[in-house]
Amino acid sequence: MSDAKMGSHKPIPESDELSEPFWEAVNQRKLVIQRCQRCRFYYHPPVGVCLECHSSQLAFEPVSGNGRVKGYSITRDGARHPAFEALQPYAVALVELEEQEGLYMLSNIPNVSVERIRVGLPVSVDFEEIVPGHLIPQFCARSVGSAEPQPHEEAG
Amino acid sequence: MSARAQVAVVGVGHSRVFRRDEVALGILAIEAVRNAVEDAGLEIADIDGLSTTPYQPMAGGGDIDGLSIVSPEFMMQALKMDVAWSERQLRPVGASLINTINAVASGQCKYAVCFRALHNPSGRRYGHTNSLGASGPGQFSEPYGVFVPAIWGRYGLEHFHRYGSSREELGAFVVRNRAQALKWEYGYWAQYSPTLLTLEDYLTARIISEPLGLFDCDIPVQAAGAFVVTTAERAQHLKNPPAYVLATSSPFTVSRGGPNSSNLSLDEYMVDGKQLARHLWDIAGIGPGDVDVANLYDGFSTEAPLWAEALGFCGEGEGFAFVAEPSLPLNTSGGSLGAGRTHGIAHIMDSVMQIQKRSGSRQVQEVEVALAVTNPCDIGAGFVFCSSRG
Repeated sequence: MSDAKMGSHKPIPESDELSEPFWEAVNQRKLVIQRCQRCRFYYHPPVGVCLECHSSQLAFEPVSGNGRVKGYSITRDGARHPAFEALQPYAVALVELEEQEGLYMLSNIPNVSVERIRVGLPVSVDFEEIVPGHLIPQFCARSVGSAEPQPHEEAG
Repeated sequence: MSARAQVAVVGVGHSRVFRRDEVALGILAIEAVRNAVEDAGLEIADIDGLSTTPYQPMAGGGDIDGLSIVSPEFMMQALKMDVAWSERQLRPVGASLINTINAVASGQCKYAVCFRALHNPSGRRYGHTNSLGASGPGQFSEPYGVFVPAIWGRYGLEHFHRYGSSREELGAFVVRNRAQALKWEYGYWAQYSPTLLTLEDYLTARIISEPLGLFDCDIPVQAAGAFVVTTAERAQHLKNPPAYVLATSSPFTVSRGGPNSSNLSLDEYMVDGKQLARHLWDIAGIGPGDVDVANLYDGFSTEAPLWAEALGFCGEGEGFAFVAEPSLPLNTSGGSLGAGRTHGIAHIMDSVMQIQKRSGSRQVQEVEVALAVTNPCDIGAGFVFCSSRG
């Protein structure tokens, strides 16, 4: 890695009028998703008006953080940013949240080797601090390395 | 009941092709426009309509008119054009050509040109960025390192998982495509590296984003293409046989997730493609069985089999097997994988030339109907060209 790349980090999400509550919650390690308060439809990325019932009453609600891998690719030599070139190979997965069919978020499933990622893999949300104070949701494979502490693992 | 064409493509033009910006993009765009107008047997003074998409698909390529982009205003000034209608299109070349067709059909202009110039800057990897922030739709994708090949890889792996399709099928398509591309004189591979590809070359090339390897990705180039459009009536009196436009469709759905397909699953992506196909066949009054030659967009190889399924050339899940062993002449231009990253210029251009019986060594016998689709399903454009007005 060259010196020029040493200081680089992943792009920090810049929140906007619509997404501010989402990123504020993420920075407190909470996952909230925008939901129509009239017809209860979820949106990610957030929208200005409900596209199902046309209500303007949209609010962010906590979700379980559970989902499954809908699709994925493993980038081995396709990264075009120093922070990701250093990470190759890495997965980019489309995670479908359990709350609603077609409700997707992107993630890297960082807790398992890329060879273990499969369509249908159950995942739960965790958070990655990409620079101090700036977090992003990162879904992790549920079967290994779950967010729950595993106190007995090191005892043996 | 078939449609009756109002408009025809009567001239095509291509610039020289360069790997990078050895020659200013504006010069190449001028070349393409002049070549197309001359090909139609017209003069620049005859052209009274102009459309282009100046925007470039990669991040940070610059926006200097004439060097890194080419606007309609640049072209009008450079060629001293006297137009009644012009358009700076936001969407890819297919949408620009459709609007050019519509401008002629509605009488806003008589002889219109659509051109497209693609830029590849020197000294950096295509689309490379060191951005430290992500805004707009990118705030939800860029922090995860989503670069374009990963999107097309993901659709591929999802298809492999669901239908048992394979890299070998994709490889058969890419290998045959290269052979075809060596007959496309405006292509990168024909000009700079006229060698056939073997299945072993394909399978052993470095992986970019699984399952896409190096040869599944079109090579970025600096080049331009142009098309001349006029009414079906005026087309009778020009030097080339008209390629009548029987139907076009460009719903441009981009269902969700912003400017690219990063937030779609295969299911939603196919819904978008099928929507375009349904309208295209409905307007044309014919179906996939009536097509004699098809040029399916293949900027990344996985796009072509998904277009084949969406358009009904094969059944659901059969797209990869279809492009491996197609039942009709497929990607006679060699597509983007053969021409370089020209965003569908090759697909449209050879479809027109096939109709005009001007494809030389690529020419398919007895072509009456040619289909071209450009760009991915969610931002795609479809064209049915015909040798008769219908």
